[in-house]
Order: sequence, then C-alpha cells, then structure tokens
Amino acid sequence: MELFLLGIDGLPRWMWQQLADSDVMPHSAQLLRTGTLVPMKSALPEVSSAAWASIVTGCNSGGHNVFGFTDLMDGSYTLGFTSSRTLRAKPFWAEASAGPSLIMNVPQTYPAQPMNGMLVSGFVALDLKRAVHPPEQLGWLESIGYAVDADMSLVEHGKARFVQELRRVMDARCQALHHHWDREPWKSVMFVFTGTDRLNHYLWEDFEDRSSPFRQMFLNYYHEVDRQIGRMLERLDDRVLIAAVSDHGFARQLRSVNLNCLLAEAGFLRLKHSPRPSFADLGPETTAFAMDPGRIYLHRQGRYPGGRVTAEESEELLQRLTSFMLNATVDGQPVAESVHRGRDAYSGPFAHRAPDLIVMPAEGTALSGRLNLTQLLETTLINGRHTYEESTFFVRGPEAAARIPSDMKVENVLDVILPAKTAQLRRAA
Amino acid sequence: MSAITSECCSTAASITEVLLGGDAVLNLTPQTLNVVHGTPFIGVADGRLWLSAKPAAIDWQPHFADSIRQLTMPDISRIVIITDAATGDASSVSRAFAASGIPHMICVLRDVCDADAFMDEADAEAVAERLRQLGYL
Repeated sequence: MELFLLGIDGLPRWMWQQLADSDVMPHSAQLLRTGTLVPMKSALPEVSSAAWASIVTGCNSGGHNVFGFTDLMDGSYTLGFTSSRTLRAKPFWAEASAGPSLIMNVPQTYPAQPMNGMLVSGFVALDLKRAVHPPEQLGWLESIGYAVDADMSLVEHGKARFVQELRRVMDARCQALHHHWDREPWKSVMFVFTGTDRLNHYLWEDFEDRSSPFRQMFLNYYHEVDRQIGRMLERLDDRVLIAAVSDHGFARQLRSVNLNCLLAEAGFLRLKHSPRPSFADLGPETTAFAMDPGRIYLHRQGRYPGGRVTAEESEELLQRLTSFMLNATVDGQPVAESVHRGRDAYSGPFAHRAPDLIVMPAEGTALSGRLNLTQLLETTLINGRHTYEESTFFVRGPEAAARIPSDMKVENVLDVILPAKTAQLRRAA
Repeated sequence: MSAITSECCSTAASITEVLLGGDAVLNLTPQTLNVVHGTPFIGVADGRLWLSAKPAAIDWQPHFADSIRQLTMPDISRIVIITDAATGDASSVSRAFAASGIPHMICVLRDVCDADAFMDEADAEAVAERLRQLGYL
C-alpha cells in the first residue's frame, strides 16, 4: 500500500488535538506525533458534499460541479440531489495511474461508479445494492448487516439510543474495512468515519457543557473512533503515506435562520401560494433565492424559466443583497459574518453554475435554504454547526508536510499527498 | 498505464451523467448523444482513428485497431465506448484498447436505464428526509 487516507467527518483540528492531549484519543496522539497537523479551510459554503468532492478531486466546486447537496437542474426549477453522477471531476482513485483502491464510506460517491478496486458509497447512499462496486461484494456486506447510514430519526428516541445506533453502524463499517483490506494488495485505501459529524450535530451542546450527563457518551464515542484508528495504524508500515482529513470544522449552533424567509421579508423573494412550496412556485417578482446552506442565486433571465433579473441589473442587486445580508439581524443577532461573490470563489468548467453569493454565517448561527417561509428561526434538535475554518489536515512525515501551503484548503489535499495527480490535472487544464 | 475495463449503462439523453472531464467518446451506435459542447469524440478520417471536437459515430472495422497507438490524446485519460443492443462490436473494440493499454469503459445505451433512474421519486423523498434531519432542507 502506498496511501492510507483517513476521513473523520466534521472533526475540527483543534478538537482532535485536544482529545489526543487529554487521553480520550491516545492512538491519535501517537499518530499526531509522527507528522504535521494543520487547520484547513472547507469548501465555500462549508457543506460536506462540496468539501469531500474537493478533497478527492483536487478541484473547488467550479471544477467538480458539486456546490451543495441540492441543485436546480439547468434551465428549470427541478430540484436535484448531487451524487456521484453530478461529480464531474475524477476522484483520485479513478485516475489511470491510481492502481487498485479500496474506498469506503466517502460521501458523494453514490451510486457506486465502476473503478479499479472496491468502493462502498457514503452519504447520501440510499440502497446498498447501488452503493457497492463490484456488485459481487454486496452479499458479504449484507451478511454483516452493513448499513449505508445510521438511522438519524432515532435521535428523537433519546441521545443514548442515537449514539448506540452510530456505534452499530461504525462497527460494521470497520469490520468491512478490515475484511476487504485483507483481500487484495491495495495501492490506496480511503476510509471515512461519518458518525462523528452526526454526533457533533446532535450532541455538541453536551460536549461544551461539562455538567451534561451525555458528555461522557460523546467522549466515549470519540474514544471508540480512536480505538478503530489504532487498529488501522497497526496495519500500516513506515512506507505508507498516512494522511487524515476532515471536511469542515464544528462549533455551537444557537439558532438556524431560514435565508429564504429573510429574503421574502425584505422583498427579494415571493412565493406563489402552495401547500407544499417548491422552487417552481417562485413568483416572477422574485429577484433572489437561497439554497442550502448559504447559497444565494439571482433569479436571472435566461437561467430560470421565470427569471427576470437582467445582466445589467445584476451588479446593483448583488451590492444590495450583500449589504442587506451583512446588516441583517434576527432577534438582535447578526446573520452573516461575510458574503462572497461566486465569480471570485470558484474556478473551472462549472464555475458558471455557481451561486451568485455565498453567505457565511455569524457565530452561533446556521443558515438553511428551506423554502418553507413560515419560520424565520427554525426549530431543530441540531445544536452543532459546520465551520469554514478549522477542518483537519494531517500528514505523516516531513516530505509531504513540506508541500502543505500556508493557506491550506480542501482542494489542496491531493497537492500534498498525491502531487503527481494534481500536476496531471494542471496539464489537462 | 493500466487498461481498466468496466461497464455501465445509460441513455442517450443522460450520457453526460457518465462522462467525466478527460473522457473521449467512441460512439459505435447511430444514436445522437446529448453531450455538452466540446466533448471530444473519436472519429475516423482516411481510414484511421482521430480525435475530433465534434460528435462522431464509428462503424468499427478491425483495421482501426492498428491506428489506436497513433492517436494523439494529450488531455484524454479514458475512452468511453458507447454501444447498444443492436451493436455487437464493443468487446472487440475494448480488446483493441486494452491491447494498447488505454483505460476505457463500455457504456451500453438503453431506452431506460436503472442506474439513471437511481433517484426516482421515492429515492428523492428519502434523500430529502435525510437532508432534513441534518438541517439542509
């Protein structure tokens, strides 16, 4: 094996170091001593689908075409969900020079595409039958009760039951990893823990509150993740390049603001009356709308069937929207920390599909792009939110570490761990 | 360079969902493919294969294999061989590319393809529910 790439969804760099230093994650502590751990910036916006797509392709969203979990199909109001089929740049394992790879639970790889090796798709995989390549490996995975995802609805039955479910799913995934690890001499292995993200979403308040009865449960989960990391490290000799990444950081979520509701209140968005609103219900007077989590699109003429914003009107509207977002408050709290222009944020063949603005949330705030306009402040059990800053990048050894840029971003991961792949990409560009 | 041969299915209308940057299309069928402008195709001129910026279809002849090694494809990393139920040449074309060590994939066109329909209405609702649980929708 030449490369082992470990993904830990939603693990902030500072938290990994803190848990390693405090003996919650002793195997991680041992690993971190052998290399370089740096903070990394996530995708814009800081959404897992776009960030993992950037990590495995070396492109930003303009290059791989994944801007969020949802997108409107070109020239329509049809809501689509991004998948391996909308990912338009090659992941590193699909390169001709990649050699046989074992790829497990990487988000944005469903349905499983043909590749050299074995792949089991991660979030948002629905059906295990379509999540496995080659298909002949399906039977064994079914026999161990491999689940494509944890049942998140169990959080409504209590945090203990929810964490138990996360453990069950992680155990099966790790069992599958080791089983398939032994089958072939893989050149690259990538495995992603995703239960960490789910845990952070629902138990972040317990992590921060030292008196919470669920705090130890939170730490125990990370201890188990670390035990699994230890099992993996035992199998890797000194010649293997080991890297570890997370797709975004995490922080406390105190409120969730519905951006479409905010835009409607300010007169930028109007929905036709509908019992179940969809983007097809956007009124012609709509000038802007939002999609998850902070993407704002002008309702442009030519891009959307009912769009009326002309190219000449767009600059003034973008300035107005930027100013509005930067000054908006809900219950006295600011909504946005910063607003970025899509045209400045992305590069590549799909940059023209980018949102016009990306709103980065203020501290404590999460942004949603729901079209339900009844609640500006949404009710949710979620109390942890993604952050753009402080995702994790670790690489073992000094040689690869020397390639870490000073402003490390998710799309730079392959530059560091597989520089030949990114050189190839640049030649193709 | 190892020649990876794998197979998928799609429809002529949704073939863009299969194609990735760096792919060139070798279309063995008479069907018009719904590709984005600028997708490279492999065509035939003067009895030899060549890379074209315009859509092309090929009636495969065994001697075309001799010109595979002369193909100049600086930015191409994979050939997607398009075939359908009425076209029987895909396996011989695949063997010819494999013999030259060129990565390629066979894509079988169907009227309806399960893989394309992976996100039917029920699936879409299931995905939406999962995204709702994480606060995206």
